[in-house]
Amino acid sequence: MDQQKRTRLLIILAIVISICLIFYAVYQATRKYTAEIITIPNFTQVTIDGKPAKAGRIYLNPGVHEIEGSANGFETIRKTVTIQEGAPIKKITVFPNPNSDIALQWVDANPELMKKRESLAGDEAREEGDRFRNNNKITDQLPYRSLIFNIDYGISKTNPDDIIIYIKAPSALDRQYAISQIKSWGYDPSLYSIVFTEFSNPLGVR
Amino acid sequence: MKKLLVFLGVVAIAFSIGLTIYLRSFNDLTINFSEKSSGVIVDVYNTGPDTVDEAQQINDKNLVASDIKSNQKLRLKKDSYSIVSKKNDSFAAFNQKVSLYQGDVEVLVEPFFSESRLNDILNVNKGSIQSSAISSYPRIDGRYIFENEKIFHFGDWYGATLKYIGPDVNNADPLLIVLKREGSNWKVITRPPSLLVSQKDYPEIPLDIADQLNQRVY
Repeated sequence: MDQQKRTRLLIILAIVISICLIFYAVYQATRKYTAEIITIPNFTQVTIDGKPAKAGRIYLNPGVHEIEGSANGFETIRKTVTIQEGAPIKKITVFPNPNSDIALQWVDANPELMKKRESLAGDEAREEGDRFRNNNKITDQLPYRSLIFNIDYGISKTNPDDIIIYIKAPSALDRQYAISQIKSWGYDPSLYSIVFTEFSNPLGVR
Repeated sequence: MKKLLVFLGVVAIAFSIGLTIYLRSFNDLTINFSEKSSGVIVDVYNTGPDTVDEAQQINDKNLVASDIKSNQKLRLKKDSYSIVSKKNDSFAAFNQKVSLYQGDVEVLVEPFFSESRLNDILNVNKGSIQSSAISSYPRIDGRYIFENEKIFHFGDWYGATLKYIGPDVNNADPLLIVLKREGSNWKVITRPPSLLVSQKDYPEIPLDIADQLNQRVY
């Protein structure tokens, strides 16, 4: 093969490799990940909504998901996470708790990983707190107490990202004042699940 | 000869680039009419960017297509448009703003029924709606009366306030009840009728209906 042919071949090869790299970069940039599963210890077995899953970046549909992580010698951990449409990639830590001699030996042998685990868990808790406050800004006003009514909130049992507002007001008029108070803060009561604790619905309960 | 060929080549390339840029400055707006909106006529106005007061832009000067009565595809310059129909005896006014900057857009023209048409539906169905509510919640009878009854959207949603007339003064709050038409029957959605219609508790109830009902009480 003469010099000219070899050069041409190299140029074609370089172009092909460049095109492949560009395609790979575009694929990686446009590929949709919505969550990143982080496991410590790394032999943790993860299931998402009952199906086995691997650690790393994955696509989860928007909505609520049940995550479970188990590792030999460790206490199985279960958590409920919510993936929101259009939100940045959500880091989900799956850290089963060491509760056996084997697990404690592993902890002693892996101090760096345990430090990382604590740091990541702290970051996750902070992120969760910030996200919860952003999604439920009304909680900045709560609890609210007046002479005739109290407004407070609790976490929804079905969706940990949601709140239930509790209004304690003894009369129909007081309950109306409480709703007016929520409106005066600029929130639409139709968008909240509200429980009137001192109201006994003559037509029954939900 | 060679110079002429080069010149023609440059002109052809410039023309191709210009044509590509011109063709890429348009997108398709597809207007579809739902079965419910038979008889609706829409006009399309170029209303400009979001910063511009849209109401002021809906005038003859900005009309780009008029009297559209059936499914149609329009090729329009990348911009913002409003698809508008005026209210008439059968339908409420319809106004949907769309942006063609990002690509082709499909719009389903489906204006809600007019107030008078909804009132007619209410008058015809009031008896069966109240019977359905009372059969689901027999305690309504004798303890509550139906007030502020209204039919919404396409005659498929009903909402009312239940005014308490019973003896329990501590729980005498007005309750809100919502029913949905399912075939020829009306089904109670707010189970039970409650102080507030919450979209969190009843996601199937459209927010505008929940808001309208809640505003009557609060």
